[in-house]
Formats: sequence, C-alpha cells, structure tokens
Amino acid sequence: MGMNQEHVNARSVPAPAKAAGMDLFHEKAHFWGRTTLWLLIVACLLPPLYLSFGLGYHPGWGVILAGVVGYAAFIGIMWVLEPITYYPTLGIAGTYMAFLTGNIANMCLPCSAAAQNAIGAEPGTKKAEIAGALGIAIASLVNIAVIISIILGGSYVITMLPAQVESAFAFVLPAIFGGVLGQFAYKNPLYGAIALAIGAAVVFSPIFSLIKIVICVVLTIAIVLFLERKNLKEA
Amino acid sequence: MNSDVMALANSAPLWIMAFIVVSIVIFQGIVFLRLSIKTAPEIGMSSDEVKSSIKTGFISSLGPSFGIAIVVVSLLALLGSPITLMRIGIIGSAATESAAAGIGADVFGVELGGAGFNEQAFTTVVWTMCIGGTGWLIFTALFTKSLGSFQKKVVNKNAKAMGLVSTAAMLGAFGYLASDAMTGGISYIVTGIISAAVMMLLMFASQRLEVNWLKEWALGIALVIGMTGGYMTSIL
Repeated sequence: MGMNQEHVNARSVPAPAKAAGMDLFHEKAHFWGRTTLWLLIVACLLPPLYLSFGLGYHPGWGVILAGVVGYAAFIGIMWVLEPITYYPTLGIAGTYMAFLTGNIANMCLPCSAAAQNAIGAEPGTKKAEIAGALGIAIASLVNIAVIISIILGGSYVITMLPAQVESAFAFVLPAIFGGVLGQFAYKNPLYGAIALAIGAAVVFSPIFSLIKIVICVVLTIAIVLFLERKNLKEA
Repeated sequence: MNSDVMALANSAPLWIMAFIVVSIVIFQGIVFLRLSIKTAPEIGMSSDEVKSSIKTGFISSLGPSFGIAIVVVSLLALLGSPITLMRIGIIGSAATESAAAGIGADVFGVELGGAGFNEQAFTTVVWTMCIGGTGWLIFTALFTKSLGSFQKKVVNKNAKAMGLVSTAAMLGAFGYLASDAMTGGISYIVTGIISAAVMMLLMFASQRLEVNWLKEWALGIALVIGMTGGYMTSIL
C-alpha cells in the first residue's frame, strides 16, 4: 500500500496504519481462500460421482456433457465476468467468501455495504475492506444457521409463518436492492440517480440479459470517473 | 418426483456430503472472521467499530437469509433436501441453480420432477449443477490473486480512483439490480422506492440525531418496511 492510501485513511483513523497488517491479512486471505475453495470444488464432485459410480445410476458421459455444455453456453461467461465485476466492492477476502457462500448480490454485497456504512468507512479504504469482510463472514454464518434450521425443522417453520408474511417475502429482492441503492444515493445523490437511470435503460434494452449488469457497472464507473476527472488529478 | 427418486435424493450419503460442504463454508467463515478481527487494530479500527460491523452484518443478513430459506423450501420437493441445501442455500443462488437443474433434466429428455424423472435423470441434474457451479469457484481460486495485484497497482498510483471505482461499481450493480427487481409490477416498484426512501431517511436521522445504532439497523428496517409496503400495495 502506498502513501496515497494512508492519506485517505488519515481523515478517520488517528492511529498510523501499518502496511504490514494489511499485507499479512491479504497473504492469509489468499491462502485460506484458495484452500477452502479447492476443498469445496472436490466436495462438490462427491455427490455426482457417488450417484454415478457408487450406486450405478450413471446416465452416460454424453448426457452429462450435453448438460454441462448447455449450461456453460447459457451462463459460462459469468464464471469470468462476475468475479471481476464484484471484485472492486468485495475486495480480496470478500471475493473468496462471497463466491464460496453464494447469494452474492442478494446477501453478501448488501451486508458488506451496510457494515461499511455503520462505521462510516469510505469505500476502497482498508477499514472498508475489513468491515466488509466482517459483514460477509457473519452473513455467511447466519445464512447457514437459518437455512439448516429451516431444512431440519422441515418446512414446518415456514408453514407456521402467517400467509401474509410469506407473501410479503415475494418483495424481498426489490426491498434489498432498493435499500442498498438508497444508502449509496444518500451520500452521492447525483451518482445514485445516474446509476438508476443507466440501470433502467439497460433493463429495457435488447441486450443479452446476463451481461446487462456488467454493462451497467462499466458505464457507471466510466461516467463517475469522467465527472471526477478534475478531483482525481489533484489527488 | 416418484418416491424411489425422492428416497435417493434424501438418502444418508447425500446428507453427509451436504454437511461436508456446509462444514467447509462454516470453517471459512470462522477463519475470515478471526483474521479480520485480528487485523482490525493494526489498521486503526477500534474494537467498537469491529463490534458495530459484526452487529450490522448480523442484522442485515436476517432478511436476505429468510428470503433464501423460502426459495429453498419451495425447491425441496424437486431436488430433495441435501442437494437443495448445498446448491441453493449455499454456493449458488436460486436463479442459477434452478436454471442448471432445468437444463440437466432437459438434456435427459424429462421435466424436473415430472413423469420419467428417474434416478439417472436426477444424477444428470446433479452433475450439471455441481460441474456448472465450479466455474465460479475455479476462477476465483485461480485469479483473485491477480485481481489483488492489479488493485494494488491502481491504489499505489491513485488511491482516490480506487475508492471511486469501488463506489461506482456498487452503484452500477445495484442500479441494475433494483431496476430489474422492480420490473415485476407496481407493487415491486413501490417496494423498491419505499425501501430506498426509508434507508435515506434513516441515514439522515442517524446523522442529525447522532444515534449510530440506527445505521446498524437501517438495512433491516428498510427491508421490513419496503416489503410491507409492497405487500399492502399488492392486496389493494
């Protein structure tokens, strides 16, 4: 980390930030992130291998290949684009956690952003990276606890909910996404409006639907950097 | 799904494999939690700020988790508990994994859970979901380090640019996600607008009144009020 980074932190952080702390954090995050990801990749192969060869329900490689190719043709581009698109907001530790625990847009990113907001950490700073990592780590653990108790409790817990509550959860996605957008728009109303305008325009454009989000992210970054070009030169 | 396939989908070995996957995710969560807590004081983050981040992550994740749980429950009957737990509850998301399941069943020539959905069809679906989902895992395992070095170069050159890119990326993503989620109809639009408005109001209030815990609860509160507003509009 260079001097510029220290300078950004200096406003809110009285203690002198040591580069060693964050470098060590990244080093360990890479090690544990990679280890857990490779372990998970192996663990993911166990169920299909067991069904095919342990029990003898192998449908034939031709069918499996057709399924995988069909899926890859439809979504394979996201294997590359999603990690790159989300990296600037998730950071190193956040990326390892979010792609392992899944539900990135509807849980990991909102929790990361909320944690950063709660302590007033500016995006892109070390503090923001640690706060975001804490938010995602807790979210991942809470999510597992909730899902397991609901699956083990059968759908009993869900059937116990009043019908109105369950119906209200049909609106959980616009509520999450609207809330996060509101949080960022409060600090940068102009950029919030620009992002929403780009989002609305792209949603209704005849573009291959999976890459729409990438287009929105790239356009918003380009416009924000263009509008801030004077401030950037002074920095 | 016929009862033989259902019995297979809920059999003990699959449960054990699902719990191996769950254990890896829990293990990672705890490792990163401890690592972050240990690093915090070294970069000038107070223990109050650590507590506040954790508390906020906890409160904010409850709504999304219950949302995920409801989708999980609706898919239990199609894929059995262990596979639904490991693919949709964690690792993937409802949208991508149901697409993979649909494609898997399709190449086998049957419909998910429909007539002819036998053991082989189930196996094909599991292969498609499990191999299809590793794409993201392999890419992040291989290339997050490169993304990290690239970021370091940008930060060294211009730290302010990195902050702006980070904010803009978030705004761009959520500008799209919010717009997309609001195409469902008027109740969805009302939900998104109320949730965003409540969020801004709470941010304003917490600054004016200098009550910081409001920020910790903000996303949770915005979510509940937004969903309530959407539901009310839908029954009008």
